[in-house]
Amino acid sequence: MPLPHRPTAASPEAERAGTPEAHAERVAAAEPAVRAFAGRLLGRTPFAQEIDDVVQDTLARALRSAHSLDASRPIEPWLRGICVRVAADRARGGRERLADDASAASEPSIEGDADRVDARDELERRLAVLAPLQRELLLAFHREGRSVAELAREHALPEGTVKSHLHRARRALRAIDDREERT
Amino acid sequence: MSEALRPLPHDALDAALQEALDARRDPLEDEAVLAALAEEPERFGEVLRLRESARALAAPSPVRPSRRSRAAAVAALVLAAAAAGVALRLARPDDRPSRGDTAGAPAVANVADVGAEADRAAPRAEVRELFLAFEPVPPGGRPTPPSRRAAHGSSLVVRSSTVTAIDGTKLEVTSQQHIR
Repeated sequence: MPLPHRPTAASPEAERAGTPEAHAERVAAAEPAVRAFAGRLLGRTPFAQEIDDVVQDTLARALRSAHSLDASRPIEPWLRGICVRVAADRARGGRERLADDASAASEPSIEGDADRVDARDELERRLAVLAPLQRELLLAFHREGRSVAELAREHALPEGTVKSHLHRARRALRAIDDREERT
Repeated sequence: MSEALRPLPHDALDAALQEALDARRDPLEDEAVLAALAEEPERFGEVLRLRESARALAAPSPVRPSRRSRAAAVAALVLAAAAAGVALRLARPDDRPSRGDTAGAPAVANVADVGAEADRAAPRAEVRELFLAFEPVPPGGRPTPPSRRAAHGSSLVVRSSTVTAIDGTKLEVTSQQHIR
């Protein structure tokens, strides 16, 4: 019974596997999977309108980065990693672009000031539901820039406990976000 | 065991997120967070929200109007209301200055434009609605020319006033007040 054909190191298929053309074919073939992944990644975020752009950037970056992929390994996990980075870059750049636009505007941005006040009011309202110690530690860490070690000394707590309080405070804020998003 | 000492459930993405925030790193630049997101892409929004919360916590507090600037706001309100009142008294319903020729479109006029009609006899109009908006402006937070910025350490802006006369005519009065 003949064995199924497998390309060997010397076969033409194996030689072609590492070429730019073969890489481009693999990337193109994976586009539907990348699009589906980008939809899961961004579909419920403010960047949902940018899914097409993220897919295109992901594929373009994948084509430029052929050298970083071992041709013998599956391509989809590698593409998912690139897609996450592309989306993260856009999320970071989106904020910077908005800030640039606001500063470049010739008219005063009164609404921008009002939005910042509103955001701060909203944050203060959510902070109010935290346990006093968690709120105090969270504000000292983020707003005052104090270190975990400093806070641990000041409150006579192990550093791990301070971190645990910080984590719980952030989780609590996130839980409020999630609840409000659902309602 | 108390709540504070109970271990948190393991969650790779959450652990990576918290570690990044503890180290004051941007979660969107943290390799562990990004790797975890590749496994749980639906949680990208959660990462964005947590990152925003951390940034909001760390951001300097926006300037709120002080008692003095609130008083200035009231003064500006009175001034703007007076200006709007003058505008309504001086503008006749059928010949008020307006921008745009679209029939039926609400008239939009500046105080200065309406004031140009001062010599005309006009029926008195009664203000039915008056909306005024005030916003605090942080020092240096607006693109005021440098020569004026020094003179206005803190200022208030009267954004706009929409005045509806008793006959339904709407006037939008736009003015800016810089008050130290």
